[in-house]
Amino acid sequence: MDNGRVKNIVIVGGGTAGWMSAAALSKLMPKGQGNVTLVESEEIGTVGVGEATIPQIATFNERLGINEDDFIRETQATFKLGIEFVDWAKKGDRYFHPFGTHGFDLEGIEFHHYWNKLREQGDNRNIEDYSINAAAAYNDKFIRPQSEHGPIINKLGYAFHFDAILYAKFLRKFSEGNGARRIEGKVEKVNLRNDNGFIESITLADGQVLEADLFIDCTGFRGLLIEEALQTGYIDWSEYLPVDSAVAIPCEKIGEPIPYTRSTAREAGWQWRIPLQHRTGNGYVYCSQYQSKEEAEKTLLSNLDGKPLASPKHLRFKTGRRKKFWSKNCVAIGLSAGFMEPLESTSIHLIQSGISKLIALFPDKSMNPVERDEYNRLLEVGYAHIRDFLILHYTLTERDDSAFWNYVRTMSIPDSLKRKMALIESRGRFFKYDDELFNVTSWMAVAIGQGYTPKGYNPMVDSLSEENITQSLRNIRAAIDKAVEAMPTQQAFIDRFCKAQDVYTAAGENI
Amino acid sequence: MNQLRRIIIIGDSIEAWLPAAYLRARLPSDDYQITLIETAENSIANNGDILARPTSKNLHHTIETAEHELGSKAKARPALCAAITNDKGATINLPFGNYGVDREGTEFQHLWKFSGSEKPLSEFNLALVMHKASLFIPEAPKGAPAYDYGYILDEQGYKNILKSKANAKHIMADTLSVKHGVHGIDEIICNDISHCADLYIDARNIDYETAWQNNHLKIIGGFDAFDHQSGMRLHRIQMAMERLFKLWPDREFAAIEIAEYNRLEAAQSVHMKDMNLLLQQNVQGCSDALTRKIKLFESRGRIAIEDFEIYSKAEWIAALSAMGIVAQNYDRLAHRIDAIALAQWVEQLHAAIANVVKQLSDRKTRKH
Ligand SMILES: Cc1cc2nc3c(=O)[nH]c(=O)nc-3n(C[C@H](O)[C@H](O)[C@H](O)COP(=O)(O)OP(=O)(O)OC[C@H]3O[C@@H](n4cnc5c(N)ncnc54)[C@H](O)[C@@H]3O)c2cc1C
Repeated sequence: MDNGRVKNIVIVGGGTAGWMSAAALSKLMPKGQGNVTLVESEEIGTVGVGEATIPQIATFNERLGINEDDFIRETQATFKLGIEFVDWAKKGDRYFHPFGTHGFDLEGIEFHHYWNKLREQGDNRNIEDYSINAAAAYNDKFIRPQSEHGPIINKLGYAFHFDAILYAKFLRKFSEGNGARRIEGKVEKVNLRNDNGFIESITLADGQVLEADLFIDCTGFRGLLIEEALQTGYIDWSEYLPVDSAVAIPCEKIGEPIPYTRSTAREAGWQWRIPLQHRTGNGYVYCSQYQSKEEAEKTLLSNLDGKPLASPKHLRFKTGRRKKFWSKNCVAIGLSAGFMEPLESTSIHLIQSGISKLIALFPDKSMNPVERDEYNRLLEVGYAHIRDFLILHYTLTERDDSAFWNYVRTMSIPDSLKRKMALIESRGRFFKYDDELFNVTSWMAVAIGQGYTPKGYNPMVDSLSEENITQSLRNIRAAIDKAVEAMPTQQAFIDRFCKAQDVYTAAGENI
Repeated sequence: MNQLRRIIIIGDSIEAWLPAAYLRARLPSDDYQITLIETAENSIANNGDILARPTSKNLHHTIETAEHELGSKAKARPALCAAITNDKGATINLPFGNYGVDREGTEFQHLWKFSGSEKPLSEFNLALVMHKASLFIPEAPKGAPAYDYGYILDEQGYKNILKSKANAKHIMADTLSVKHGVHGIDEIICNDISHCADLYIDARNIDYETAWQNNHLKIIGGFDAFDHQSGMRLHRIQMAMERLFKLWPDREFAAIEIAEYNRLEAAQSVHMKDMNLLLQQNVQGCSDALTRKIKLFESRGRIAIEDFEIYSKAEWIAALSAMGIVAQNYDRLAHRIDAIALAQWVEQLHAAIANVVKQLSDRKTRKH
């Protein structure tokens, strides 16, 4: 009965995707049955960026039994309560996309309808005023929600910022501890079977040949197996998401880290700022059609708030996804599967999602097309939902101060997004699909934050008197203020539970 | 003000009274006028029993109807599954509870298959086992397969409950004629008197392609015996009301919102239709979603879950198994658990279920 069992899995690539896959498979595969081998090449290296996450990563850690505080300590991580978007709607503007929720639903109706009713009546409070995440973020506060904290703090959603290189190291230790084998080497050749085109083996530069039943391609943008060998094809989304380049640089941290990512719109794209315990990560994601590499680097360097700690690293990519994520006996996970730009920190989540779906649909050697097709279908849907949410940020801009913003403001958008936007615009209606990542809070935060406030609200809101609504909303604000006041600062929380070791430069300076 | 204030509901029995009760609970009574025109035309009332699925608990919470009220006025009896008899006379029970207990992220049906247990999978579904033995406790004992329960209700009694909650203006229609115009329904002539509203909720069983057009919302077309047995009779109205409430319109009836309602309704109808085809054991012409479900189950006992599902995984397993579809294999990750230990655990679980049943039967016998 077990003849067709997948016994050997080879993962090619040792970036975040490779080591997350190795960690999950080595932990979750039946012991002694699935041999997990990971091949990586130090010579090629990893992209080394990708430092902000979304709350779903907690599920990954939990499933693997990773202790959160250990993980934070070992990756110099900080907490992330959301993203602040600066200059996106127009210059001088800012808004916050929080994890967690805005306020509370009342009488079974989503909170934003009540907020919108009061706004129509002249109350100019921001929807952020009802987010515990935004309030905690702007006060540099953090606490890990626990059941005894009560309903307000329990609405706090959080993720992490971490050092991508340290994260890979941490997962390597974890995976090797669970029996995964690591081989240092460069894959020079991918050998296909004549009969069915499956990958039979890979040949390393030193002549070593590695055979496997299942190959996981985590080789980054190039997709060494899924594309170069299996020629699966790529769906290009650059007409909707035109950024295609990035320049990244870490800098010294100034003061205590803030518990959120900042994304600042610049002339031909946007700049990220990710605070870690030992340094700050920075990068500028831009469209090369509108700005040169040199200009982009200059823009980034002139907008750092600390001394650079390395030389700038330049990257090129094409937004989109692989036509098939799983082809023959090869599954692409990570950048080899696709990349939609890092605006909402979704790539690591897509790695996690790919791994958990692979585990849920784990094949045998025959690679039954039924399971493969289901995997591809589920991921296609997941990618499309995220793509639409990312486009929303661009299409809603009012900026007309550069060719880039003029393009994104006026570009055509997918019909699926048009429909969603029309529903939001009329009365703030939102229906979440089962496999959709971002919920009503996210969509409303970005739409309202960029000035696309629903024109109306659910008329059912009128069931509560205005006085009643005003009082309820006042109570929510007061409860949030009180809760945030009682929270420790993020730094105090880290110092107490998960402080990483100080890092020193070669010159002995504490960074 | 463009607010929608006057609502007319046309129909019979619970199909008409449930929307009335729901809207009365949700809408401030001073501002909204709800009129119910009761007509036996295209009625599906049969004054027997109706099945309320476990999800009806939300509904009853909304309309403030406690379990004891359902018991005293509608002779509520607990239901642990939907028992469906198909055209071939076979009865298929769709359970409101899980098959076995999942372990380490692996669903029980895989563990069961890997364990090689000779006991049928259905014997690991406590809801099904208790249903068969006519036993009931509201909650599964710790460690036993979880379940929820719905109710079998006396239709007439239930209708009376809804009527009392609805507090609507009520007209018995001896004659009824619906006048349609460019904006949907223009007026309803009932007993020679004209009645107008901002929104017409049509609860008559009339086939339709589009549920909602302008001011005319149809909520129950294409009803058949399966809908009755599977609990969809009530569930469909509940879903229609929840959708309507989320998309509550004004008199402009924004096309985009109506289209969204219709899109959601159509998505759910596909699942309902698929389940019906499956239970009828005739899946020709079924949706891609059902084809996927069948293939995936056949291959390795997995259930594909799609957007806006209505039925649970356990119900799909029951229906697919009844159709004679056998999973060829199981999820390899079941191997994470040592085979001998697993086989013992599966047998223990079976014994624990049998024990629950025995204790309950003994208690029942003693009572008698
Ligand atoms: C500018 C930018 C910013 C980003 N920010 C975020 C963010 O904030 N949040 C987020 O979730 N994601 C972010 N991402 C995405 C994130 O960086 C990636 O999803 C993540 O790092 C995974 O990368 P990877 O492991 O797929 O690829 P890589 O890191 O490129 O790893 C590829 C691996 O394959 C190996 N390899 C390649 N060829 C061979 C060969 N021939 N032989 C042997 N080994 C080989 C390499 O040595 C390397 O180990 C960002 C990406 C970019 C470009």
